[in-house]
Amino acid sequence: MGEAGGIAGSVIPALSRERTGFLSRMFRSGALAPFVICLLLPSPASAQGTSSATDDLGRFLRLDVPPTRIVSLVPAITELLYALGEGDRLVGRSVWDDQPVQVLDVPSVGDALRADAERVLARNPDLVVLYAGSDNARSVEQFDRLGLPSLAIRIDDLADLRRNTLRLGSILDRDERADELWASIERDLEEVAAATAGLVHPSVYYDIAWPPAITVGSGSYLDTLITIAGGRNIFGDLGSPSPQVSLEAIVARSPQIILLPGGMSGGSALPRDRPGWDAVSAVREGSTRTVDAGLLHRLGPRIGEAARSLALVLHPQVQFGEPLEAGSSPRSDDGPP
Amino acid sequence: MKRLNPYLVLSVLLFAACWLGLFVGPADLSPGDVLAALRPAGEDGVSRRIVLGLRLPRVVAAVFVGAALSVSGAVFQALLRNPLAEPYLLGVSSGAALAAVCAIALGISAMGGFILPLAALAGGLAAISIVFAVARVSDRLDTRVLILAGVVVSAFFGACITLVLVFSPAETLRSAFFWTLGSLAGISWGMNVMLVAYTVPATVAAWGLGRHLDALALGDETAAAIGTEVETIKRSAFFLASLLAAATVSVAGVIGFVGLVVPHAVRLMWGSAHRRLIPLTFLAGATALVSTDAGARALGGPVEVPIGVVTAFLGVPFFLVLLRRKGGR
Amino acid sequence: MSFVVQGVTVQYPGAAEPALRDADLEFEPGIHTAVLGPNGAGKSTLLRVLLGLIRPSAGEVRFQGRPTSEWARREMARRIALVAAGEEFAFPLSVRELVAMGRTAHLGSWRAERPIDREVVRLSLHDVDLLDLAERPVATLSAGELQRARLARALAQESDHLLLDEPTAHLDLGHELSTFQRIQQLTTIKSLTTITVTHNLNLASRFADRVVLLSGGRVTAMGRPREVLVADRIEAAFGCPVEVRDLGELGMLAVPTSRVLRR
Repeated sequence: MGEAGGIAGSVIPALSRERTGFLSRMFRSGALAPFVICLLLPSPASAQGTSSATDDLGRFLRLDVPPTRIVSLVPAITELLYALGEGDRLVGRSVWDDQPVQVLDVPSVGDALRADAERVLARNPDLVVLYAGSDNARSVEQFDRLGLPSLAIRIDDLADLRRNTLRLGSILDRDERADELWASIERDLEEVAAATAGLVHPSVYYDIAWPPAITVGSGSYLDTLITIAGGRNIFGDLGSPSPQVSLEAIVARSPQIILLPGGMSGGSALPRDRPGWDAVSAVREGSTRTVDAGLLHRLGPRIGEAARSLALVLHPQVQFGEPLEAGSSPRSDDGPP
Repeated sequence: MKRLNPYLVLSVLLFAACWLGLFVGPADLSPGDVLAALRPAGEDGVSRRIVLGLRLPRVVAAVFVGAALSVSGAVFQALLRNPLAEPYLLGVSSGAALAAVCAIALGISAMGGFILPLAALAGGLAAISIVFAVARVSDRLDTRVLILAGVVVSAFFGACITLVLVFSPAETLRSAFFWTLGSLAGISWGMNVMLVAYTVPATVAAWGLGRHLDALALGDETAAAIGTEVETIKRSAFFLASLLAAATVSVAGVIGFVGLVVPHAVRLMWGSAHRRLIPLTFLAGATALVSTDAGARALGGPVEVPIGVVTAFLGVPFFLVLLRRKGGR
Repeated sequence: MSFVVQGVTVQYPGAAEPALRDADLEFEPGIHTAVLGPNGAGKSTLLRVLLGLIRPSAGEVRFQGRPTSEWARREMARRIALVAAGEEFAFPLSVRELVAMGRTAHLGSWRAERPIDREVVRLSLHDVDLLDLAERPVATLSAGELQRARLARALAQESDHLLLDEPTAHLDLGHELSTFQRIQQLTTIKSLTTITVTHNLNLASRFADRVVLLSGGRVTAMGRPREVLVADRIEAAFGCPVEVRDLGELGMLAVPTSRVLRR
């Protein structure tokens, strides 16, 4: 709520107690006019008392009160909720949501894509947030038919992250907090970019999976992160977020560093064990480095931390000015560093 | 042992299976809760929304998808004179899958829930039209060419699908994969109406063809000599069976095994006379799919096991037992 | 006249020679006619042309005065029944079910089986002595029993014409005889018009009222058995010298003396 709302809120109850006298009426009608006008002005963030947002399928959602029982089927949204300090509103999560650690106490309603409507409904939510993909098209329609408010969102790149942060703030009526959160995320990223700006950017191959060889293209936020962290993605010219590339192309582009996401279950064979991969000079020279997949493969409030960790992998000597701000959501001491 | 009336037996089993489908689900609802939710004057709570909004349309869909697949399988088996024929043999599933995958890859499927079923239906019908055109040798429908054409067209569409997927991001791959595994989740009442509109008349028509399908199973010449308009019957059978298969694929994706095993099992139990086989297969197929869907949901866990997987796991042992007990009649 | 064949030529696609060449025939109603000839003479083709199962490349076949092309299948099946091998038994079938298929033409698509249909099936089974095997699966029958079942099915059609394609192929001596006896009996009792394509000259001469001799797609002779089945005619048709014996009641017997290839 904006300032105007706050003051008017304290004055009006007092008014209702006053007796109706001629002078008092004059006083009220005259002096209170500015307060009344302020009351009528829309507050900086949203219409007072309602929360609304437009999702990424173009659907406009308006709720009378901000939601208090949220089922989140998007791990990034779950993390944002906690980062905004609103983790208490979460009553259901997808099986993929594991950050921050407290979220594991919240019941899981199953898969994030093709969500089981029955399990979601059983949590009696007043808002469901899910990924706006074709897998979920039916779920979205189901929720509509069942009268359950839902937001279908995309969260593939940094612009999405910003939009979702602000949108979440809008729907929770916590716009200021959301603005602050995004500002600090931005600052973290800028800081990392500044720290690596003057350094030589090595060429990088980001090994998402093998076989087949899948890497990141400019459509993925990871490509942006690599640049921020002081690297150059050799396949940054490909538009697709996760293109499949041939070994020949990798050899031709000759990356200086191969980044291997570690910490994921079911990892692929190491490049040196893959047939034909010793044609890549980085493999012969042993220039493969592990990155924290748990941190990097999630586009959420901890992205600044992710950028920093990636920068340290690429430039072990890099110095950062200030400690991190964003992503410092309440987490237990056992949480990741 | 007195031979029980098969219509009665199957109807009772279907009835029981439907109730099972309503009682079973990831949300913990007692049978009492479910019954209360079904009462017209019941209160509008979470249970009611789950039972009426989610479970009931799903059970209805399972009934008609299972029935349609089985009747389609039975008719194809008669048309192709082959007990191993099944609804997807002649290209319906690959045509529908290609259309669906394209819709997913182009991103248009996210725009509305009806887009994917519509695309799948169009794709399926296109595929079988091609197969029909190929198999039409001088105004006669050659059933051997039909099978070959079906296999070839399926392979071609399959290759097209692979091509599309190679150039697609991981999300499309995943969506396409799950679509092909089949699912009864999220079928709306509107889609149910469409399903019933296709399934019921087509089944009645197939039942009317019953006597001629018996004749056709003996061979073109014998059938003609007995008094069957062979080419007309073949065309009708082909289109009925294909339409039934396409309708199910568009609404529920590819659910394999049901269309192969159910008509076979019914034949083993109650003979091949199609006038009886068609309605019994309708009931048996509906029962089979409702039960396996309930089973799939009862397995619980965070991931919903695709229905096609469950039909195979439950269907194969059941079928093997049936084969051993009845020998080959 | 039941069947009238006028100038019929049938050429199968890709075949060097036509299977039937300019055939002109008339089949007398109410009698048993045998169609004889060597392999490839066009006997089976003739049968199928009569039924309208094959369209002639030239000429016309008329049944009861109307061209066969104008007859609907169902109509035709009520008037003509075919007994031929070459069915596929894709699905298990009982003898009774096989015979009951003969009622298809009478029932059409929608009508349910009536008591009269069941009675006709029972009588047909009785006429061929298969009642006690009625519930057996068709796959377990011997060749002879299967042939009888086919005959029963044809009888169940209640037609007045019966066409048989090599009904005694694969049958032993005893069964060959009993088959022909049965056919003759039925022809007489039910006043059928019967046309039998066969290899068996002896039984044809014994039981048929008329004989048609085909060779190389042409009708080379037609008439009473003793008129047609003379040595030089048989030699000309079959391409090898024969000795012919007239065994009186036991029909004619033709024994090949040596094999001479003739084109």
